[in-house]
Amino acid sequence: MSTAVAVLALAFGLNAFRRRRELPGTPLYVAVGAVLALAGYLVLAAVADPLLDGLDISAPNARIGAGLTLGLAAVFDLFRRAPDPASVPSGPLASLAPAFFPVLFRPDVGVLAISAGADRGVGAVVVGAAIGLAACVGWAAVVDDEAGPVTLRLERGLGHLATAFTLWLAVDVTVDGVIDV
Amino acid sequence: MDVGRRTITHRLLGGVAAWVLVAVVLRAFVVQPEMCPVVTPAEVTAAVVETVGWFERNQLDDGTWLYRYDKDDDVDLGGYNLTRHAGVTMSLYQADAAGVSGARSIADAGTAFALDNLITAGDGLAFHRGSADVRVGATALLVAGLVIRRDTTGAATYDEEMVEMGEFLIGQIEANGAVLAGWDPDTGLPVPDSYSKFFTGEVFWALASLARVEPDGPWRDAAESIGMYIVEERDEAEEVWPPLPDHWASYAFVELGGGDADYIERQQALFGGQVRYESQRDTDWWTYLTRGRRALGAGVGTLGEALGNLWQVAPDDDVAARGACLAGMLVERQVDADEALSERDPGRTAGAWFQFGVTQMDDQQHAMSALLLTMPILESLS
Repeated sequence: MSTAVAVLALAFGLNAFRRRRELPGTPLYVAVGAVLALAGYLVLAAVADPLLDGLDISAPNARIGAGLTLGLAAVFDLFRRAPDPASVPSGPLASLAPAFFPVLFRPDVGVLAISAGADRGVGAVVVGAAIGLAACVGWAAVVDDEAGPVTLRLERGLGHLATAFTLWLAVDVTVDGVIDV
Repeated sequence: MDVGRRTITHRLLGGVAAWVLVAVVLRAFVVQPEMCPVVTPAEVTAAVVETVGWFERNQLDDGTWLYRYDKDDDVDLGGYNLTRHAGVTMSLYQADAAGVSGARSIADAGTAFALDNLITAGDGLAFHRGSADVRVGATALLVAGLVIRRDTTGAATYDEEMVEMGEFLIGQIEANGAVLAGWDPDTGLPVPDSYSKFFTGEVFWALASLARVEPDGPWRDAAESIGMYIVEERDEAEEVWPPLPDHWASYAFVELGGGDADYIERQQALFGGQVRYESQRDTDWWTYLTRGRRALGAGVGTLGEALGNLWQVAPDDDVAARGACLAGMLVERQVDADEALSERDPGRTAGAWFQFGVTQMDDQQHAMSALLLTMPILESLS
């Protein structure tokens, strides 16, 4: 996959507009969770080559796996209802759970980080994940559940758009893996 | 507070379950291990020698070979195919060119059979037997094999026959470079609209090879017109989808010193992808269920022939990796002499590749050619 696709897929795969309702309401906790998630993706990207070698998986096949996972997660996102914000835990530990895990450190983006790490190196993964995570933090800082209906409707629409774009990127990544050497 | 803890626990468990589910499903269905045994050039040479031994032991007095054999029932399943006869002969000349002792005399016996069955066709000669339409593939592969023999021996022994066979092949080419697969002895004309997935590339290679034998002849121009057709028109004109991976054309591109870079790259991907898939196939029930049965030796062999050739034309690390993987698979899947001792007829078994207990002579042909052509890749990696 190209560097641009890797960065975009990581950024949009995190989908800030969909994630906001799953995150704690305190931006600082979200930011801490985002930093931890970024570290997690960095580690996955850094160990991508030995990990894939150890599992006897070629980079193109890893790409197929990443594309399919990202695509399925996007489809799941399209139909899944976001959780009730009232049920999202608060307090400092919320930066660990649920902010870091399982909301921001996710398997679909994790598999993509491994594949992109093998294809494009740690740098591309860090940039893509950082953009996506920064968007999550930023959006959570400017929008909360007290926002007006127009803003919340806009959030829902942007979430769908980002999901659709992620789906398109997932197809691109999968096809790229299939038609590679 | 309890509700909050339960919520967190629930979400953590859900997150863990998602990671585990993704990992398990991916491993089970999508990214199964690609099994690429590491082999050395020496091991590949030994496998080639074993294969030449199979052809030697299973050659009949008239120069033909045991065509199809069931090792479990120890039964000669009969049948014969002249194109495959020419292909085996060519492959043995490749082994001879690589210095495998004894390969040439076995191939020469195959050539003698072919030359005894040359008929006048079109403006030249064709390798054919029987009353059906003449199929161009047999003649093309015979020419290709004889050019390899000429390269190795330096002897112009069969130049006359080669040129006459080339004349026949040129008569099968249409204005746009398409190759008609059949020639009708009754009408004395090519069979209209008869196209073959494989013969086009075989004729392409034969004519490209002849261009070295007779540089001033019409061969190179004819070959290039076929090459242009293959690159630009064939898949659409012959309604082939997905795009045809053409291992025979890859030989011709080597002869011509290259080809359309985009086409070569696409071909590398088509063959490389198949190697990745084939390398995930094992003999256990799960991979059989999710990946299908292991391909025939001939099928696996064609992948190696193509990758070996395409690597020569456009060297690439990924192509080299797939080529090396394929060589490893072939060596591992070959029945070696020790394994054959437990079979009912070791002489018909050793050196061969079987699927469901059956082998066909072109399994050995393509596999051997693949081993020979991937040897430079292995040498470059070692």
